[in-house]
Amino acid sequence: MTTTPALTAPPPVLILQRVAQSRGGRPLFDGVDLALHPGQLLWVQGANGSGKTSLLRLICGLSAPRAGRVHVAQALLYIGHRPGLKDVLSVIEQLRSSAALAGRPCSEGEALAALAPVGLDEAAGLRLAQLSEGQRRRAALAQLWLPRAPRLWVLDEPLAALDTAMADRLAQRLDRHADEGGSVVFTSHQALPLKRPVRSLQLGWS
Amino acid sequence: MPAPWAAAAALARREWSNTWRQPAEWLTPLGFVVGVAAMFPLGLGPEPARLRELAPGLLWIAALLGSLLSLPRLFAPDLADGSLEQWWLAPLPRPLAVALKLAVHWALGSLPLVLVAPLLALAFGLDNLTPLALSLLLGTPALALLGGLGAALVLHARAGAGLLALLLLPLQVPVLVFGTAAANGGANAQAALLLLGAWLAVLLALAPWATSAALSLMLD
Repeated sequence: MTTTPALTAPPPVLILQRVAQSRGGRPLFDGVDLALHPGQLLWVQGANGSGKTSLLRLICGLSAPRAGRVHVAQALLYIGHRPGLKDVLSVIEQLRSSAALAGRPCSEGEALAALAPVGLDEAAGLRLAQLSEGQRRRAALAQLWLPRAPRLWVLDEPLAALDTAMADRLAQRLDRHADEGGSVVFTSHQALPLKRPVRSLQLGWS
Repeated sequence: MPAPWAAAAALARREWSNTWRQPAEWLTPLGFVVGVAAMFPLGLGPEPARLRELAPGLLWIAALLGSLLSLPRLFAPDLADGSLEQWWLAPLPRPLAVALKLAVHWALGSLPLVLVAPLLALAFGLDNLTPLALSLLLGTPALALLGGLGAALVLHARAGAGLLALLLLPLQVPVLVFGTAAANGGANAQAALLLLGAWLAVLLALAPWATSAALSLMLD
């Protein structure tokens, strides 16, 4: 007996329908329509104040849209511009507690393995207060290398404060995630050196 | 371990480590109460009978004012560094996240006071320390729950500390009244303790929900 390959594309993991948002009475964006499928990367672009972070927060359910509908089909991983880093925690404590808080606890070995690609495995015992801004960003991004990560990633300015080498490594990780059927929504003012095609969503009224 | 349990344990552990490693955060209220208590004989005179009579009420007022000191920074750092967003995305009910945060806040900020207050009372010559200890054991969690709600409501306010005190002091009056009545001992002590316990039960049932709703508004 042979199995028939699926003729339809996998259902979208994220759907936005006529989504509008405002802040303090000022409209940010209106009528945003989108369907993001497994394996797709979406780059949300726009000038400062155009509502990129607000859109990501809508996707995560951290705020409600002024109009329209947001549907997320599965669990997601959100690494915000301020990713909940505590200065007094060590790098590995921060990573393990962030993972456990998201309901995906990891072992010390798994955490150390996730810190290696971001170059912090030897700094695992250092407190976050001792790290530079770029290293703190790496500590937050190490979650992307943990096992059992959700399929949908929502990343706000992941390139902020990163050097070129780390930006390349991050791009490779996102490419691999998409190859494995994962999806990524990210904001950035710079282009990520991704191999896979990237969909783009431009925010802003101009 | 199921995801919600892992998340709850992680939140409590992280809050404990974060607060414990910043001793100024949790030692300040205790230091304030001990410092104020040390001034009682200077302000009221050294007469033992008078100090013994006033000590329960004065210690309760000091405890209440001391509980206000750390409140402006209760949620502000979590809002600023994105921790609040992590709690909200965690697979556990938001009121439970708030309750865990407040439990750690109480355990480090108020429980030492509950333990030290009888020693201070002993220094003032109080014979029966149990009513004071029990009243603080029931009353300080109520102050923490009310304080959490107040801290959430003024999170974005300018001059939040002053506003917080103005907002909270009227709400804390029942705790102070029942607490001092219980701490003074006598015939009404048991009834006052029961009322204090009832008030704590009401706050436990309502305050985490109200606080999480207020924090959601601040995040939106």
